[in-house]
Amino acid sequence: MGQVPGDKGALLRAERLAAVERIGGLATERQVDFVIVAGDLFDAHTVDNEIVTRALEVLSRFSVPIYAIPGNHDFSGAPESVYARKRFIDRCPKQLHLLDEKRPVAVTGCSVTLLPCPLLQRHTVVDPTRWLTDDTARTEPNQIRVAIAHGSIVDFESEEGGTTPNLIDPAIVDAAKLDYLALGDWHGTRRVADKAWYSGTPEPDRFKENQSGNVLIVEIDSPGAIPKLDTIRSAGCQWFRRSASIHDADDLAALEQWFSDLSEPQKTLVRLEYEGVLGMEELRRFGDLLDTQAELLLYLRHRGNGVQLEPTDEELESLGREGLTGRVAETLRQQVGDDSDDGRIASLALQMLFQCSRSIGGE
Amino acid sequence: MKLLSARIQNFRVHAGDEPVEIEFDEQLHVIHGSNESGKSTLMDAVHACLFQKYNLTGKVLDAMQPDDGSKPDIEVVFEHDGFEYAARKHFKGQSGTCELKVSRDGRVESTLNGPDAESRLNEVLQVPAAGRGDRKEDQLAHWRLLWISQGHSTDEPTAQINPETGQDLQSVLNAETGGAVVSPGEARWIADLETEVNDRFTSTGKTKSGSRVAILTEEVVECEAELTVVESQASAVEKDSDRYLANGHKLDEIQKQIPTLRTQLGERLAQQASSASLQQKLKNTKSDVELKRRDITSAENCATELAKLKQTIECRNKQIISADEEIAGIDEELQDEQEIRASRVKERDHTDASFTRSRRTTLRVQAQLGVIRARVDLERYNESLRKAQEQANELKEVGKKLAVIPVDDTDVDMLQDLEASLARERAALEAASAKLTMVAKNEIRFVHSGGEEQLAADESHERQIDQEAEIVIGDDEARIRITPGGEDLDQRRERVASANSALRDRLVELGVESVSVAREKLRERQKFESKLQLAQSRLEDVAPDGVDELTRQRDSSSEELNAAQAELERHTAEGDPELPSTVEDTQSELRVKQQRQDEAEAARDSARQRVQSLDEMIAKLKADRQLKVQERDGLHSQNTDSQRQIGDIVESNGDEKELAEKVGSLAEELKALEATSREIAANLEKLQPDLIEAEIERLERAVKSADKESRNIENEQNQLIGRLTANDAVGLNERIGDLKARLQSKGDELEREGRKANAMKLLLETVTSCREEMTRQIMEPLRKKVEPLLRVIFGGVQLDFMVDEKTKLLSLRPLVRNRVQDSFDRLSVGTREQVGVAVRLALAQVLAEEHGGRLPVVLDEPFVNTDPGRLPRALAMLNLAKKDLQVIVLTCDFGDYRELGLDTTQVTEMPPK
Ligand SMILES: [Mn+2]
Repeated sequence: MGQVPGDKGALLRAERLAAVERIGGLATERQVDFVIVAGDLFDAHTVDNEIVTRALEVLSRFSVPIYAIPGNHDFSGAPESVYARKRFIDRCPKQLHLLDEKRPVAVTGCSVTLLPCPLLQRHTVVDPTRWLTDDTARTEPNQIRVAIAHGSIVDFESEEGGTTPNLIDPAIVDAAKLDYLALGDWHGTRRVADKAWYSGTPEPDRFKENQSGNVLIVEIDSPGAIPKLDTIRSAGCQWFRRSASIHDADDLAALEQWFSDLSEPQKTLVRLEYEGVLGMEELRRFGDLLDTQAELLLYLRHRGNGVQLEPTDEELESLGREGLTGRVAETLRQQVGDDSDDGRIASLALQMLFQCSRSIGGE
Repeated sequence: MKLLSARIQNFRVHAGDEPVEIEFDEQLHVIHGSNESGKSTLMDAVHACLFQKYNLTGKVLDAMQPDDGSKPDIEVVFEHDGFEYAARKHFKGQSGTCELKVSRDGRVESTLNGPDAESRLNEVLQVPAAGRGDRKEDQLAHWRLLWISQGHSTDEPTAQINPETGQDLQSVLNAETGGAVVSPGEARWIADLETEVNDRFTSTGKTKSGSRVAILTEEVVECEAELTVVESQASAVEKDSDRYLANGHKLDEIQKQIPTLRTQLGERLAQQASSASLQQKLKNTKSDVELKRRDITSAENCATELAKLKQTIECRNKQIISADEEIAGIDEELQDEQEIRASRVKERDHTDASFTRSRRTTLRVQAQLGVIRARVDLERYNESLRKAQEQANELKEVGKKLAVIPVDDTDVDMLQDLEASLARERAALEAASAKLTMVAKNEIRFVHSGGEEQLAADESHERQIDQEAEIVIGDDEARIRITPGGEDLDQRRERVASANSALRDRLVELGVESVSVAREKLRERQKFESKLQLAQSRLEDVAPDGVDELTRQRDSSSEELNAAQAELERHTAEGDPELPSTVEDTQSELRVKQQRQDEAEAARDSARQRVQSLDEMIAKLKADRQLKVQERDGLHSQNTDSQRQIGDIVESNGDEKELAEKVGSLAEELKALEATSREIAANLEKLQPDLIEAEIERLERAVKSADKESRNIENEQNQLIGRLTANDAVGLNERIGDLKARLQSKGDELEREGRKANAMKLLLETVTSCREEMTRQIMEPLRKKVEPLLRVIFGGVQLDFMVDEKTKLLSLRPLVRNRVQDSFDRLSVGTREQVGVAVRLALAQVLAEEHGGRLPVVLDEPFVNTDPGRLPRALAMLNLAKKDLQVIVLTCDFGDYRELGLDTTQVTEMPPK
């Protein structure tokens, strides 16, 4: 959550817990048998005890069991693991089962056997699901085989000569005769195969257009059946990344409209990137828009240097071409337009000159 | 505009009935004359007529009037725009008058008077009316500020103050140029902008501490530093964790390896034991072989030793026989040499005796020579002593005579002074007293204070009367009373008497009758003194160190004679021949004797030499013999030793035959032992003991290092666990997140603030540079005019006209020979006045374009500080400037101006006052 500082940052953190709470409510409401967390329950081993305590508190109110495996951010087996921490051990609710061994676990009350593929270190070069084809992964024939794994299904790094850690081959679904493979690590909700899905993070925490903020309800009738999935929105906040090219009043109006269309501005975070050229008057309008939206939204991030000033002929004429102000304006105008920091500074200086001369005119 | 003529009456030093009149050359006019001749006054009058109010009163008027209080009356004629103007002002306070005649082509067109005349004049001269000083066309009237008044040649030209308006030329120019660039509104926001920029930047353009940018920068740096610390803490945890996991894998592997290594080691150790026993056996056999070899060698050595000893004894015996023969030969030679020596000794004794005789004879003649010389010396001393005594007696007698003469030259000087003083007093008395002359017609008798006297007919009587006297003529027939009128007669008389008695007293004291007698006595004294001197110098000639010293020398000479005689007697024997009695004879005799003595000495030395060399020869022979005897005896004793050694060897090892048999049997035994040894070595080779040993060593090392490594890893794991489970990493995740967020937001704000600050700075810089550029453009005409003038003097000087940041005023910044001068004031005085004149002329040229193409510039002593070497160039500059100007120069030194080749109409000489 390295994006938003101060009070708004605290608000975002609270939203994440609220999302978990919503999942608990949904589990009760939809009468699910159990909840799976496919890794990275915690962001890091170094999370604060406050986070651990609050998270466990929320989970303790779940009406169904929760099965979780350690992911790459909270892998078990290290002395500093959050799961080895006294706070976790003391406060861990009876509903929460941490599956940190590669052995089948039968779920009581239903004919599901879970096949956990926990991460025991941050990065492993061996496919964490490989053991699922071993004899140790055999189950009774009437059992629905549900594997839980954490990692990537795309080898991003092999092209660059590296190895993607925790790489999972989706072919394991057939090879190990799985009924469902619950995948974790990617933040967006994504189907890999009929029987293999990434649920994604229930509350997004960055500007990335990737369908995050959902929870999956999976229903499997019997061994071998195709699972039925329901994607439910669990997120409280919306994260947008917007880029805009602003060259005239129409562009400006479109952007204004986009902002006013936002449904829940107080729970919306926007990262705005823009470029363009505007006259003096429009540039001021654009500045006003940014100022008000920054106040209205949960968070507005922009660098404030993308749109440059190109005064209109009338505007330039108003400064007087022969006098000192006109000459200064002309000198500055020649430095504007080149897309460098100097150019942007010249543009800003030109804006200031207009403000200065306006302040005289207004007297 | 140009000045044509001026007529001045009653202006300061130019007082009186006759007005001063002057006609000006239209280009260059030089007015010269001595100091106080009224040059400056003349031009001040012209200035007053043109620019002062005709009805002014008070101090300014007072300063214009001459000492006699008469009122200044000045007329100046000038030409402007094709019109001729004759302005005449009579300064009389309130009742002053002003007249202006305007003519064209010699025809008077109008005549104005009073205020009309003055306002028209001001209009023509473009002098601003009172209260108006800020209109551009009015500024042009400041041309007269370009004149140099006396003593102001080094002033900054633009600092010149207009006495009427109080404005300086600089602010005038500024109003015309730089000042016009900025409107009051602009000036306000530029000032605000400057404040903003100054709040953000230092004078050198660096970010000011305490500004928002500086604070943000500090915060960002702090944040970054904190983040670095926290991230490095987190990465340390991660690193420890990775290490812990890696260690776990490594430990498993090592512990699997150790048992295998131990088994391998056991096998190799068994192999090593069997190899060791074979090696021991081989070692023993080899040592037996070695012992046998040593026995054989020792027997062989004994046999060789015996043969060698026998051979040596034989050889020495031969050497002994040859040594005996050599000794006998030496003995014969010795006998011969001894005989020759006896005859040489006799020869030597004979020559010794002959030298001793000759030596004595020589000494005797030497002594005789000493006696003769001592005698001569003694006689000489005796003669000198006699003469000295003679002169000493003379000195004594003259001294006695001198003692009785009573006067010396001081006494005589004093007497002469007294005599002269008496004469002076007498003459003074005589001058003051009356002189009586009586001439008798008939015989007559008369009585006066001295007694009675008688005069024959025609006889006369004269007397000096120095006090009241009465003369009775005849029988009281007439009484003549005479009262002399001289002053202080009594006193004078007394002074004569006292001078007379002083002289007498001194004569009595000295015991002489008169001054002349005293002089005679003095002459006598001088005669004796010269005699005394003569005797003294003679005495010094014969006895320079005194008579006593001479006597002492005579006595010592006598002693020397006695000693010489004793020496002679010592060397004289009975029967010796007579010796010569003169020095010369004795010396020649001595030379003969000396030669003989030398010959005898040489004969004696060579005889001695011969004996000595024989002695050396004999000694050498004896030494040779000794050596030979020793050598022979040594050989004898060595032989005895060798015989004893042979005996010893035979006794312990047997003779040569027995030794040969022993060697044979030992060689058989050796052969058998060597065969055994080869067999054992072959067996050992098969086992490869080196390989085994290396393998054992490697295995032992491997086991040891595996043990050690697993211990080390276990230790490290314990430490890692300790570190990883310590509580200080808890919460790092959130801290990093928070710091990153803060850093991002502060960074964004810093970027915005920085850009804003830089934009302000850029705006201000652009304003400043635009202003300078505009100023420069406006000042370009001036620059064009000044450059050719300066080139005449300096061969190329640049002048910059800058807007001063503080005062916002235009200021001059000359660049002399490419050295930037901070300001005009920093130039040397000479350069200052040359640059100053050039700038004034250039400004006047610019202004002249608005004044009908010509303006008068008056320069009063413009180049007083200019060194003579540069003066011609400075004057050449004036010559160049005259084309567009009327240059009027006032100077007390006309010398250098002659070079300009001026006409008489161009020069006015002021007569001295
Ligand atoms: Mn992950």
